[in-house]
Amino acid sequence: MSSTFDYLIVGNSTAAIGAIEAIRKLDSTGTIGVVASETEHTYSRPLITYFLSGKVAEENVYYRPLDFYDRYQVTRLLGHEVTSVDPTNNSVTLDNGEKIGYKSLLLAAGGAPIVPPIPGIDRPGVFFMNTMDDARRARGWLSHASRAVVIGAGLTGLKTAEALREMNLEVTVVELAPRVLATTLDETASEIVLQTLVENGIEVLTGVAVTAIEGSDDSNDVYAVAIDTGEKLVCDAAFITVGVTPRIGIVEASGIAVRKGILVDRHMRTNIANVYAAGDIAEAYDPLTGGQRVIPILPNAYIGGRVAGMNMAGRAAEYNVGMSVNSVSFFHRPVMTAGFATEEGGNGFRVFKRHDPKGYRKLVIRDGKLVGLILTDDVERAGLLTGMMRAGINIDGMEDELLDGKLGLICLPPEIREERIHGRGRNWL
Amino acid sequence: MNAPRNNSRNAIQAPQRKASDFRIRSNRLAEFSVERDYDKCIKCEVCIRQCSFDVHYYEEEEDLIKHRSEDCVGCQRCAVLCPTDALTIRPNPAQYRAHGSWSSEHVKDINLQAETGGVVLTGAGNDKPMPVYWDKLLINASQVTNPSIDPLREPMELRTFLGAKPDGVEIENGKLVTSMPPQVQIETPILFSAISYGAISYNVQKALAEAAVELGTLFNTGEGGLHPDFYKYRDHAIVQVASGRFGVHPDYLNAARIVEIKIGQGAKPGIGGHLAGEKVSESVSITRMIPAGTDAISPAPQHDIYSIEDLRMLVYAIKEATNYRVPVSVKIAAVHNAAAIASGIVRAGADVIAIDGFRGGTGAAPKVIRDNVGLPIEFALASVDKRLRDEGIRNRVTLIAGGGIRSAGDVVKAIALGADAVYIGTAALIAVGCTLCQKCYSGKCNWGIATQDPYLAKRVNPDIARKRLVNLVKGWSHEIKEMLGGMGINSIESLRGSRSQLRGIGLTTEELNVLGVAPAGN
Amino acid sequence: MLRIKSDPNVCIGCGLCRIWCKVEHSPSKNISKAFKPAAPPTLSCVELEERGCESFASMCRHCEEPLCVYGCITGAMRKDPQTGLVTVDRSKCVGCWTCILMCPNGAIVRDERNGYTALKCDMCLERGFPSCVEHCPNDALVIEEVEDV
Repeated sequence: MSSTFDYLIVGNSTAAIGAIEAIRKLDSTGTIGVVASETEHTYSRPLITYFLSGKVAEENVYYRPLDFYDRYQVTRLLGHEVTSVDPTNNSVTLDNGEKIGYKSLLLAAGGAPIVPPIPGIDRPGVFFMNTMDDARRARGWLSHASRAVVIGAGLTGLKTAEALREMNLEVTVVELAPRVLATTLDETASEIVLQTLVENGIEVLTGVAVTAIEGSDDSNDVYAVAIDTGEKLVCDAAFITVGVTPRIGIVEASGIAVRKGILVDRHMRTNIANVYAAGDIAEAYDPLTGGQRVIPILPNAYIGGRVAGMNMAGRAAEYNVGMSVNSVSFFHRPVMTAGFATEEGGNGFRVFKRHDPKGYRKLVIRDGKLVGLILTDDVERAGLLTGMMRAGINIDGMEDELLDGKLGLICLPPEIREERIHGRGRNWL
Repeated sequence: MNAPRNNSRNAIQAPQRKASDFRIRSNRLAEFSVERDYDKCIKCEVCIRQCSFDVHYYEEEEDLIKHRSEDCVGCQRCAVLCPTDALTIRPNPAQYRAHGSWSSEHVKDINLQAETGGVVLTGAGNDKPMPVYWDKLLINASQVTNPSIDPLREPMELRTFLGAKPDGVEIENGKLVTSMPPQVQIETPILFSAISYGAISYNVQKALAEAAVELGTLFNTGEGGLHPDFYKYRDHAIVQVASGRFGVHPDYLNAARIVEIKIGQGAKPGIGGHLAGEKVSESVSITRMIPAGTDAISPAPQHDIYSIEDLRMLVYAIKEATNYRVPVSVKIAAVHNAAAIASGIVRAGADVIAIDGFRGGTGAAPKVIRDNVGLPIEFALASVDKRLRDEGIRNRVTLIAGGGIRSAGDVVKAIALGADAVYIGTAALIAVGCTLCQKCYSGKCNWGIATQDPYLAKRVNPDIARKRLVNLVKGWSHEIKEMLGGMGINSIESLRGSRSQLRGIGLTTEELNVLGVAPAGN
Repeated sequence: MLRIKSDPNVCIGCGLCRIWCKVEHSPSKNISKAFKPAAPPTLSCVELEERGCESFASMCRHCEEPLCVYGCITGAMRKDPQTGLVTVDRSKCVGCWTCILMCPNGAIVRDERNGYTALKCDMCLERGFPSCVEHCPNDALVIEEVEDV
């Protein structure tokens, strides 16, 4: 074995940084190693679309300052895939055959983009939007492009479309589902987002499947995206943004339990005592469903990584606040969701909505507690609502007040209000 | 702006108005004029939020803050808190035609009574320009023949003892054998006078109590009882037994360092008190032992006292109840025959007599009483002290003078005129924030002092108020020491009744005689 | 470490904390200029919370476990290890507002005056002493000394 670390982290993104920052708070001397396939300095994946359009410069895509690894005394083993994990011998094997040992291991390798079975997907001019390098290559290509098709109207797809539009390309978004952001938003909010995109010059086709990505007669490069209506969407770039899937391949045959992601308990620990997982790779506790779920969002990656890091460094911490939250702006119109945002009543859910010129507000309530929300436009102090969700506060009788946006800490029960005003905000983990 | 555009609290709390609420149209000129510099006004609405009289309001159509001068009481709260000094509140320059006999105040009061048919109420003390005799007395200082004392370098004693003193003391083998009546030691001759919880807010009484603790002096519960939270200040409490007997029970009496029987009050001699039901909150009701929301009426007389003999029975009832551990004080308003009454009070067995002059404050009094009944404290004090000396019974009581003590100079003059110590009430409340707007009776005190409205009462931060009270009394105490030193005296007790340290200026022979003071230059 | 403590028992609901916070976060930092009609909109990091007779100012608590920092997609929101202060690097913030959705105190506001960035209480680092505390007329806002675990 070439080297052994007290803390070995597979992955160099949000969950990894969360873990490193937590570990170093508790252990200033233990060795930390980071293995990652990408060679980049740690960067923010949600900023890739901003990087694509040039709105955010390269140095600002970096998630932490350039001296981060030095200050946190982290050894980088970048440019290497982990091919297998061997919990029996406390080691991982890299793609060059090297074995790295660990005392405790965090698997935070994230998700891989889903590659849909579309003929022609490997043509030049077809891009994924998962890595900084994807964006860098796309930028080069787009310098002589004028029309682009985005396949998949999820968050990444729509942010990609926005970026392309800001680069003055003509953009068409193609989505298999009947509406945009179908898994994140309800119909009303979906329609609001759609209107925003359309007003800003993006064409959106929903309920259509892509049948092929075609080249032209004289070139292999992408020339059109064919859809199941028979139409051909002529373009000189196509983006595949149909989602990511946990990179659970790295734990194959290791004995580490997986379902959709790597299964972890409330301490972000796998079924192996000294092996943890966090971020998009993990299937972790969801406080709203009470079960385990892959929720591939950045806040949860950091928090999960932090919880894992604390436990790895010997301080017990629990992952209790990992519900689903999304905040995104399209052309400066903010849209936020949390929890069971798409529920429409029934199954024990009660739904309160208000849609007026101030924006759209939707609250989903179960057993007197707020369990889901959608907000557009007027998102002032939205965290008070997610704070109520996290704290499980009974909001019976407060629905109208919350729907009016007249909310404040003063609405909270006295003991929770007291904690919010005078507490130190240390009880989340 | 995100702030609500109306004074939302008042909007919420405004009761449904009935037709009978609309009064006769008023003919009165506004007392104050609100002047807003619109160049400076940033429409922050602090004035709207702070005025309990709803003077300021937001006018949506014009997007301006406006005001109704006629509702202004001149408390200056808005002017003080306005962050851009955009507000000036001053007496309304518009006045009725000048008249040597019929002042604007007379005309306004007549109009008010013509509209309401009631008694004109007011608060605070007599504000009429009657002579203040403190200002006609001058203090002596040592030059050459008797050295002055520098209080920063030499001991200077402000400590004094409240309680009856024996006619003489016997000492055997270096030990005092005379049995002493109960004595209460105070570190400065300044006490906080009786202000009830009910008249003032919880926070203010708390601040008074804590300041008394810090200063080594006493506060006085007034006739409102002692709130359960305040029993921890018992070692610094004077508790009152007044005509309404509010909050009086054995624990209350035994909690005190001094029990004070309140016969009268300088601001309203001869009449009782009336705390409106609106001010009788749950907490006030517990403290006073009366139902919440009911008017707390203190009868004019104590119905069991119709003679000195009756008073003696109450004095001794209290002494029995407290096992003779605490001095009993009797507080009277300064009235024409104060001297004879005081003599009777001594003979009734009181250990302390508190005399309250006619400039003393009140939470509520009929204006006609406040401004016309009673005596200046200077005359009452001088005549009581002289009478008790003449009768050879001055040692049997401590005299506390109150009602219009405004400065350390007034304290020194009061003690030279015969007081052992002074009560300060209005001065203490000014230290806490009072601007003497005289609307105490309304319960809407914008400074959070004379109110039980929880929204307003928060305006007095007891910590700040305590510090300000302590600073005031410390400041005065320093000044008293300086003046004592100047006179070549090193103990406050040596000044007591030393009228030779005073000279009168601009006083008639009769006035000088009553005060027992020689004219300036003599 | 120093923090701002808000005391509902003596908050008088005057709103001066908000006014002075707005001044501090205005281009001129001058009260008479900040509220001129032509001036950019004013923004306060302090909320005045009111209901009936109750009121208090609320602002960032600079949490020990700051969910806004954890949710920040750019790394613009940081908790300083020395001072414990949570601050936004406005040159990095892209205005995704995840911090607003994460903050259980509702203490972060959108600043759309010059780009789109989050704005929050930094205890007036530049000024040296929190303006809201300095201008609170009743000590309902005071500075307290605390220890991060």
